[in-house]
Amino acid sequence: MTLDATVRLQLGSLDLDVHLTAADGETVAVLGPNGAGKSTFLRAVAGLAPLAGGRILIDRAVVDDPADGRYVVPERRSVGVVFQNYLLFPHLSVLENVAFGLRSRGVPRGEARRRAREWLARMDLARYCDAKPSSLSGGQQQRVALARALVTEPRLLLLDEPLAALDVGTRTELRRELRAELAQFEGARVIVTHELLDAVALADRLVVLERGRVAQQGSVTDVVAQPRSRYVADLVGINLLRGIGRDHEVALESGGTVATADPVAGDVYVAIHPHSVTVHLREPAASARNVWPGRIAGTDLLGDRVRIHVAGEVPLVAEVTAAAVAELGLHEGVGVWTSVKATDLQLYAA
Amino acid sequence: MAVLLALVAVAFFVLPLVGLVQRAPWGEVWDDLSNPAARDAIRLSLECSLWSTGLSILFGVPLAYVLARSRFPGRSLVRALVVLPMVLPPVVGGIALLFAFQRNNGLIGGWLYDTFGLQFTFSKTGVILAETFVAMPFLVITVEAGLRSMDRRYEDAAASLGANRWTVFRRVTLPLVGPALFAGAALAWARALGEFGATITFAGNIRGRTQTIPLAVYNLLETDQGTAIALSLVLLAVSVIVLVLLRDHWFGGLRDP
Repeated sequence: MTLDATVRLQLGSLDLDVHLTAADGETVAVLGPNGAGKSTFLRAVAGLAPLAGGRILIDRAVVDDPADGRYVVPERRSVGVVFQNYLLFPHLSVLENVAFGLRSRGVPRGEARRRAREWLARMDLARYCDAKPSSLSGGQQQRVALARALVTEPRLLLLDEPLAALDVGTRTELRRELRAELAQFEGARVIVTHELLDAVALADRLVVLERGRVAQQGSVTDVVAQPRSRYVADLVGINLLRGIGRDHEVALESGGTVATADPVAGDVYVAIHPHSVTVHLREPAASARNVWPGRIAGTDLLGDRVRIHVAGEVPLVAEVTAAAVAELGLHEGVGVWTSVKATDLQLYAA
Repeated sequence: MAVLLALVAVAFFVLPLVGLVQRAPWGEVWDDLSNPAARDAIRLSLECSLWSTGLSILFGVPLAYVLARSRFPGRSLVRALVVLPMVLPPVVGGIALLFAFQRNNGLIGGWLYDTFGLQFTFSKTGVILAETFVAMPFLVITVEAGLRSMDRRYEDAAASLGANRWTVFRRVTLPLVGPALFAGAALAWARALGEFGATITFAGNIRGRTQTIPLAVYNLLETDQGTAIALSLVLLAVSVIVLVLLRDHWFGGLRDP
């Protein structure tokens, strides 16, 4: 493993205890809501936040182990960091920004500039060598930050929200570019983001962080298909319920029951896709056994579809057409019934 | 009513300036400034104030860095002591300096003289010391404020790129607090140039050796009013120039949105 990190530390109200590994050529995305400890974890790996416990190995060498009194300062770790907002030095030219790491490691000025120029040419930024970072677009700044982090040829690349500073229009394209650039880097990459789309597009493996702990990890497809936390479920856009299964029924944590098609036992998750949820104005007499009363708490427009948030004993999000909303008068505050066919449920062990 | 009181306040600040400027013998200002006493004072003032600014930077920047970046018991006390000369009557400062540095019965004055041959009273060194004593606090608090308001994540970025602490300081921290350092140095220089009380008490008032511009103005007011006014105008001009140089740093935040 290129990176094998167990990070334990307290910072304000954050209590971080995370184990994460990353192999050469692998991109691991650390996904989580604000305040989950993603950036702090990255800072700890880079040596910028002191550990209270745990151990960090980079390339099998211990760089941090408080129990052993071992701590390698940031400038001696083979780690490249692309910071949130890039943090390009505003007083230095683009070339000097990229040459900074080499100069700091004692490479003579001429040689450092030559290699920085090469990297900028690779990133298609050769003509901006003498420009100040503030005159570049967000995407260009991101590439300069990447060049600056990679020019010293680190074994590990850490990226903190590399796409967050970009506007929505350019994001898709830059996400694709970043993916191509990451693929050329041979070491391990850890990317922190709160955007599922970034994680899906860039990473091989997902680690979901919530309140300082790993809530779920696995391949991107697994995590997306079977979310194990409300946070991921919301990101993926599906309803996630949890309860104890017995026979053909799941007794939900939040109250209420869900009838299942097959027998079910133990602690389980029940995932329901919003377009499997039907909304009725009157209690349906149909065959669906899963029928719950509720009240519309809000609506979101998604193209020609509308997502309706129904509050009640079993809160659900339903996806219906805009036409149905107009026809049935599905507005906030309206009392409705939701129903789900037992065959449309997805069940997996918690 | 408030406007009226405000106008009185403005007049209170403007009238003395008008008084000084209208009494200036404009036709003879240049001649006045060329007389030997004035020229000695100007030369000495420039030399001593620049030395004192240099010393303030040399010792004040590290002090500001320590105050801004490290936590240690008694930090507030240290800061209070550093700022004290800004509110202390300069004469008291001069007397205090005397009892610390004078050769005969100063706290370390005898040792400094025996070891380094440093003699402060009635010497240029004394003027520089007195000016540094009153000027350095301006530099320290300005640079400390600059260090506190800068985005420290730039320093993290530099460290992650392999820069050791000295390189981080030299190539990132210092340039980023450059404007604050410049402002602090300009303020310290202006303060040193205008220093009177501590200088006359500690270093004395000897023409060509310790008689800086303010001391010369004080002396000449009785005997050669024209030169005194001309020298005052020099100090006024310097103040205005410093104010103009610092307008962005100092008043940038006060501008209307």
